[in-house]
Amino acid sequence: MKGKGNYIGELEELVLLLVGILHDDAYAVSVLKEMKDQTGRELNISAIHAVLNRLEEKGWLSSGMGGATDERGGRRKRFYQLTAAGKAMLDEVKGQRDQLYNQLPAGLTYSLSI
Amino acid sequence: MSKPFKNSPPKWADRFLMFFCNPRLLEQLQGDVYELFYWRLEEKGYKKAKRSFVWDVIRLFRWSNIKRKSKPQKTNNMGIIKNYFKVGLRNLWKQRLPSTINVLGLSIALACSIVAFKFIEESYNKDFMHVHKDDTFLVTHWEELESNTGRNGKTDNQLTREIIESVPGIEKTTRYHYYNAGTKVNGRETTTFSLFVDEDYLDIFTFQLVAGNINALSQPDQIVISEDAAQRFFGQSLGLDEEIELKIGNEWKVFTVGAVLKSRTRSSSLQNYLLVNYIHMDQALKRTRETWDVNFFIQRQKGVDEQQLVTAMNELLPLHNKDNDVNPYTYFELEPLPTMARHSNEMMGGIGTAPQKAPNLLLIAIAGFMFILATFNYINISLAMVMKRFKEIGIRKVVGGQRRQLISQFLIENFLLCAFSLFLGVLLSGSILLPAFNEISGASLKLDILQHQNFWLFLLLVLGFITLVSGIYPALVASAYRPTNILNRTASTKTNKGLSAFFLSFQMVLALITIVAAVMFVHTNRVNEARDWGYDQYNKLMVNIPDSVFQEPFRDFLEADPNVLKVAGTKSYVGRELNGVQFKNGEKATYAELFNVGVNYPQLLGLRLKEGRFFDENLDSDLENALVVNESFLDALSLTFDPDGTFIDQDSLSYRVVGVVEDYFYWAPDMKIRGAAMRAVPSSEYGFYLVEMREGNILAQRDIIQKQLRDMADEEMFGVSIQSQIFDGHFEDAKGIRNVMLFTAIIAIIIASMGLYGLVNINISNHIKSYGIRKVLGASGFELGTSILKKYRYVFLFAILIGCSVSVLLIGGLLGNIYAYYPKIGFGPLAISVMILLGVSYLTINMHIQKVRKINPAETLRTE
Repeated sequence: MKGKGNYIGELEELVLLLVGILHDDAYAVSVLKEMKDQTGRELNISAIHAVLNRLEEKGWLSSGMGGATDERGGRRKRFYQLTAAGKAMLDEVKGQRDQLYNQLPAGLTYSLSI
Repeated sequence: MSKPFKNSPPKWADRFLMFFCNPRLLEQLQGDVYELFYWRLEEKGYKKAKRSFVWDVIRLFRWSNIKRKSKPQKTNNMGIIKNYFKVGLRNLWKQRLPSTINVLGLSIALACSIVAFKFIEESYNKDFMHVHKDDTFLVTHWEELESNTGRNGKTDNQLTREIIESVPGIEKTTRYHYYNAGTKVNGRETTTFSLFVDEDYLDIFTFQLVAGNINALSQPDQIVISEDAAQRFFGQSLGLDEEIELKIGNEWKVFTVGAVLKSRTRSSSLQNYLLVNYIHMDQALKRTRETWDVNFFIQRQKGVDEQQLVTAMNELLPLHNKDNDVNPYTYFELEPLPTMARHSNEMMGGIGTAPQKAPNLLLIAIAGFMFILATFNYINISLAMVMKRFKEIGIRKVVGGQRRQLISQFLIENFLLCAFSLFLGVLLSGSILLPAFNEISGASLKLDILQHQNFWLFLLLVLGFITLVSGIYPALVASAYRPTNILNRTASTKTNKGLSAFFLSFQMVLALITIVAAVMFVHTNRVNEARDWGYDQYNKLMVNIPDSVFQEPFRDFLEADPNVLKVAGTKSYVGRELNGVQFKNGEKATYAELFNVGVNYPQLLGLRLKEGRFFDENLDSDLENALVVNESFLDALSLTFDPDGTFIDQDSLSYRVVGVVEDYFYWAPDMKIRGAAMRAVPSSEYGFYLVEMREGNILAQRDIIQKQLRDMADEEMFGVSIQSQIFDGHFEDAKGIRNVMLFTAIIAIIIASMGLYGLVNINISNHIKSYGIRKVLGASGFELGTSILKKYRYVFLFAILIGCSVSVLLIGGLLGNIYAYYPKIGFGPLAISVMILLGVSYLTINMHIQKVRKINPAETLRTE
């Protein structure tokens, strides 16, 4: 594995999840829309492309050119798919999160910090 | 989608995307932004969609999406460039000695060039600090002289008043009159060059106020002084509101200091040492005359045309010329302030000093010399350094390095080193050389390169030139070799050796020329100082007679002094001034100096009589038309001395030559002696006494006599000078030039020998094995040394032959430009110069020879 290795950033994780959710219909614009619908976060298309490229470089996504549609003036899309390594990564991150979360002391009250 | 394709995205943004986008990514990216556009069109409307589209395209303009010519190497490229840097730095470190030499040589030369550049620049750019410089003019005019027309920087005082009254479009004016006024501060009496100006002077010209009121000059009883003057008069305090008495004309007046200004820098031609309101000069001059000439500045109103002013001023001339028919004004010309100093020598009564051609040329020549020397040095050493890396080139080619990559590597390395040298050079000149130069020359040069575009351009050009010249050869030639040849050691390095020998010879030639120059200037100065002046200049004092009433008492006093041998009165003395007039012998006319002297003056001075006699006190006719002339005088007029009477004309007078003396220096040896005649004047006109003293300490004798005479005439200002010191100023100047030459030669020889050192160093380390083998086989240290020296014999032979012949031509011309009298460049100075060059070179090479002698052959043979 090249680049920064196994480390996965927060945005990367989010995009990876969205690609997984969208399954057969994951391409840049749909990821962007989905992210806006699900999380309220609105990114620009260039940033989405950058993240997708990076994830593919790291081997967590694979891609291929797909069908053309009218609204794109007949241009094809690049569809992304979650790879096994990507899924394993998500599992690992989730496992880690849960493990840490479970260690939070139970039954405490938390102050409202202002 | 209700109305598909009706509203389309902005075309230009779409085109831009197509222009920059990598074709492999274009389809998907363009598709995405189109899709987003139509989606937003529906949701947010056409305007917003259009704006977002543009933004999206701009955001997509990033490195990973941009189309590049190279094949997909995007990750490799950066790595390789990084690698070049690393390899470059490693190489520099591995060859640190030659690299240091390279960097140092180039930076020293550059630092010298910067100093020269700044000096020349400043001498051309005067008076640029004045805010109103573009609107301020010196009023000058052309006038009819006896034979031609001439330009005059001074204007008739009455005419200046008329100009102010009748010429429209003038904002402010000031007159400008320099006058050496007697000064009294706290009872101490001196004289001070004071500047009389109108009250607008400080509005027109920009001087920085230190303390007080900038409008102080509008108060006639206030004066404005500079910090320098304040320090001279009042020491530590600024002296604001203190009193200064000035003697203007014959009258003492009391002033108070109203303002103190920052002292002017040399880049200002306009003075500000002590400023006085012009009213006082006006009053003083009006007592004795109707009108006079004075420098006159005008500042025009914004937007007024210069020609319009001149036309209006010219209309005043017919009336003015009616009353003044001596030198009638032809027409006015306005001299803009920024060019005033540059043109000051083209007119009478100009202000400022024009840049001197000779020193500037000399500096340019020196800077150019050094620069060429260092550049060649640099190129040569980097060539030699490349020879060491042939194997590296071979191996890189074998593993698939492209020629283009090799070229760019060499160029990048060279660029790095060169840029570093330039940086160091700028630093060096700013921190050491310029301050040192300021110290020596009294200039106030500053390195303000940040605002200096031309300077940056110059540096960039130098950088480009050196990088290319020193990088292109290794880059192109070395990278063209076939790797098998390189690794086989069959690749020829002959061309490189020839080139390097050529550069080295050239450096040596340049170094030799500068050494000859230094030797010759030292020699010339010695010869000139020891030159026979044509008379006995020692043990003689010149006493200035302040006023005719002191003639008798001074004479009596001097004759009574036991240390005084003889006294002779005179009106002028040798070395004080020149007075060129035209003499005629029939049709033949020539200019010669005419000195008005006392009857006994020539004899007492010790002029050596060739023919005839000196003046005779008892002959009244000698006071009328007798001349004692020098030999050049007769030669110039093609005359021979005739004891019965040799007659010549000057204007309407006819003179008779009574005696001929050997040529003598009536002026410093930088001026060629031409015809000089002495004419006797009656004793009533005497202004000086020439006093011959007993042998002894002439300085002490001068001080005693000066003190005693000052006691006799304490209100007056006068001095006693020493005849043998009259040319000291000239000799000091000559010493300055000599020192510059010495400095240049030292730097040149350092750079050249550094170059030699670096080359020998590389050469030896290239052949270290062969020296090891030779040692093993029993070669002595001496044999090794001669084998190293032998390699350079042709270089030195060539350098000496060319260097000597070029320097005879070049330095001869230079000396001839600066001195009227100088010794020929003979065998002696050339031999000394060659010895210096060879000596320093030998010492340089010897350092290496010692190293080779000491090495352990086993050590050199074991490696690799």
